[in-house]
Amino acid sequence: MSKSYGENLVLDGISLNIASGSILGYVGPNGAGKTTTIKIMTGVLTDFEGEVNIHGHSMPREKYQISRHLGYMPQNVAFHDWRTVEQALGVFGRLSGLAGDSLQKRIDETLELVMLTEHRRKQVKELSGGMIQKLGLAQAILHQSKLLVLDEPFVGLDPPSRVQFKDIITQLNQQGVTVLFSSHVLSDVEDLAHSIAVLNKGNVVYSGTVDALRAQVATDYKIKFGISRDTKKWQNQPLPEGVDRIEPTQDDQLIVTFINEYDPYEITQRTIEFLLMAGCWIHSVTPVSPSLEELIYHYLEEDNQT
Amino acid sequence: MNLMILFQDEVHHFFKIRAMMYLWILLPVMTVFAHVFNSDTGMMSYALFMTSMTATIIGVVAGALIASSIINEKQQNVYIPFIIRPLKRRDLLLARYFAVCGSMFVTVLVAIVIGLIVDIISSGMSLNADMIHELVYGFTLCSTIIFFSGSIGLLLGVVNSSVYVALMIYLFFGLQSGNLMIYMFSWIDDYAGVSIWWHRSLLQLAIGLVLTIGTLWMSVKFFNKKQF
Repeated sequence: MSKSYGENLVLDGISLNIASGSILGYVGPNGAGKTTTIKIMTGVLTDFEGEVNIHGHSMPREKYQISRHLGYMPQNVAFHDWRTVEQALGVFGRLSGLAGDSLQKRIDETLELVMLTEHRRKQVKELSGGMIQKLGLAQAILHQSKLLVLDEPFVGLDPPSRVQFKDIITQLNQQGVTVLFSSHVLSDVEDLAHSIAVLNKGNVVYSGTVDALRAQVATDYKIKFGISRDTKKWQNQPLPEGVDRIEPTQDDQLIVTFINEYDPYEITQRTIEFLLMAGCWIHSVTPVSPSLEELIYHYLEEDNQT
Repeated sequence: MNLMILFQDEVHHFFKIRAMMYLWILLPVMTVFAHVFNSDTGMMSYALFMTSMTATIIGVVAGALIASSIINEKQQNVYIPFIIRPLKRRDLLLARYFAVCGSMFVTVLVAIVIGLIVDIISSGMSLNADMIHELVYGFTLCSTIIFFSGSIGLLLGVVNSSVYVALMIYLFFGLQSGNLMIYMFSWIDDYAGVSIWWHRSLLQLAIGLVLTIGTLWMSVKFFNKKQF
């Protein structure tokens, strides 16, 4: 799909596949076009070039068929502030084809799931930002959607709610719901996503698993040494061959960065000997995997250079 | 079906909002008070006098209410969770329009009925054919004014992104929509040569309907093109 706002080309012919039953994390810098992609997929933006196909139906042409099975939580989700939580879900449920006892049952279950049961009679204007986010998720899952699209779902949530949201998403996915979510908090993406798509300057520059990305990106190899006695004598000695730098942390650990061309096992052995000779007591040695944030940063850097 | 769900939802809200509460109470009270302090309405029956007076005010309120609420909701992104449901975008607009104009219309009907009761009590006569003709005329007048003013408010709400700008434009041009209807109706009375009373009312209703549907159609077209 391609989308421009006037002269500004936001999406430049991107192509994206989401496997049924998977969780896809959609990441990229601010203004990369994540929200635009999501709005096109969900039928909010109809003015674009290209094709969106969801479970065999084309959006926006077959929006009616798709929207019965689509749940969408927009970024900065908002509701009429005069509605109560229950009224809001009631109207969304009826519009999605639920009625009577089954509607009431789904409202009860959904409120229970997002922990809003005790606030069900509160008006939207009385809710906190986090509660509105929960209501946003509730309206997206109320009609038991098969595809759940969440745009920055964790923004404004406190840590317990964040964990709870992740649990709900995982639980829904285990029940067969396909999930696409965008987030700029990459630790959340790493926790949840089976695969990721990286958007940069209107193009999907990477699509695949985090492990495959890790294998593709040449980042520095690092090892963390837990030190129970640090004489600091190592600071005055030349570093062993293959070690680029040693950085002490505030919690009595040393992060050792290796030069990529060397064999990491050999350098680890050399560094242990080097630290022991300097009078340090070592209690742990742990390889440090680059975070998703670092991986994507390096990947985008390489992409920008090419 | 979804239009009906949205309409019921909107009515549920609009019948309870404070502005409507004031109108529910204020208009009947105003009707009685106006008669007490100024019972001379010339050739016009009291019911018709009240109808003309209140319909213009109510039309302005309806248009302003629709325009401001739509602009606010566009700004707050309230429409997105609705748009993704299996409904036509136009249903969102039409539900609001019919809920507001319908609520206002009922309010004016209450004022007309009170005016009629005042007429009957003050003249000592029972309901006669002339009174019924005037009532039908009043009904036509107030319905066209309210629904046309409301449609102007809807159009301004859809095309504007600032409440202030929309209200300024509405007060400047939209406000004239009620007067336009009244002038047009007097023109029909004076020059069109329609003598049968119900032909005259039908013609008025038809003109009002065409103008209103045209304005609603434009609003829906603009709203469908809007990219949220």
